[in-house]
Amino acid sequence: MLEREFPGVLAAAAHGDETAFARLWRDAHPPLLRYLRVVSGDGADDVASETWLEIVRGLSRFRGGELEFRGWMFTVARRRAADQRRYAGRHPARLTGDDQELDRPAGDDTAAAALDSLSTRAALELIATLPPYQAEVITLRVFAGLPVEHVARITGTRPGTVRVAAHRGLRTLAARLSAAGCESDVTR
Amino acid sequence: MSGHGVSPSEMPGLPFRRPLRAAAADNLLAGRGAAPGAPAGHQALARVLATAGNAGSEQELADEAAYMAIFVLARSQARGRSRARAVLTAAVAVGALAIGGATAVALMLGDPRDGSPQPRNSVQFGVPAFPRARADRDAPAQPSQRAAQARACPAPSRRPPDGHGTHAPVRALQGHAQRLHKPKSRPPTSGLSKAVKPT
Repeated sequence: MLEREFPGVLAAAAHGDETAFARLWRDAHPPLLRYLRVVSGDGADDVASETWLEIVRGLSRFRGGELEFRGWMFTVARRRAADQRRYAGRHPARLTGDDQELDRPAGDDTAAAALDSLSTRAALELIATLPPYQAEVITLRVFAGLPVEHVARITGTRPGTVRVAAHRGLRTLAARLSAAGCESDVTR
Repeated sequence: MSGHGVSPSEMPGLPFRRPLRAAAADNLLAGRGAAPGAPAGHQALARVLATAGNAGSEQELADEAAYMAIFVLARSQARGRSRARAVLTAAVAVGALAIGGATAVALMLGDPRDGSPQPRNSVQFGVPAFPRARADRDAPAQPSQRAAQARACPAPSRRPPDGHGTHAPVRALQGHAQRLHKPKSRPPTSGLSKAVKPT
């Protein structure tokens, strides 16, 4: 997060400064992309570009601090992701020529893969195995660094609901990782 | 009960762990990691969350050039839209001023149909004078007046100038003036209307 530098960077980007926008983008894009990988899966890159397009268009009208900016950005991303899901629901057929996509590990292997390789992608896939709302809440809390109240506002729920969902999600992940660690110990 | 849905006493072979407390969950979500001595599952979860929330990788930031292009394009479109909006606003303002000014002038001059006084030039060329009021028309016109009217309203000649044609328009105008100033005869009332007319 840019913290103290954020107001100046945002103002410069709003006036068309490309360097300032690059700084803003470098800071905010990775958590946005990870959130969308959990929420939207394969369509994350498309949804991210649509989200940034909307952000750029409304940048000069935005007023607020860094947390508010992130809240706005993830709200836009959440809506675009919902649009993408609706579109995918209407067009279910999808062809792929990507061999890596066909060789991707199944959902059962994600906990072991996350422990073994400990890559960002494996960690995201492990979180994506949670129920959608729990996964979304954990990504918004951990990746975006948003407090409970902001997450509740973005998801349209109460702060208590966010706390419960995050706690349940973490508990489920801990249990899966524990089981995966024990199985690894046994198989080794 | 554990995350597996059974209690440790029911199935002692399963790897049961200590439950995740709310404070520990808050620490994990805030990126502060697991407490020392926490179960292995919590430690592993802290590592996974730290990995998922670390700084952006080169792969994630590889599309920076494409996003900068989006930024430049969107900004140029926004500038174009704002310029077009400014031109449109100016055109609307000029149009409104023109319409408003014309309306103000028309109101100041008054409507020619309602008989209000209008400060305009009433000099007319080549057309007969306006008919006079009924009182003037009822009075017989003097010959000097007829001649004056004939001189005031000369009509263009359609014939080539010759000996007789020189005064033909004047004569025609004199006849026209006589017809205009001749008292109109009232229509005769029929016998039926006389019978119906109340006394």
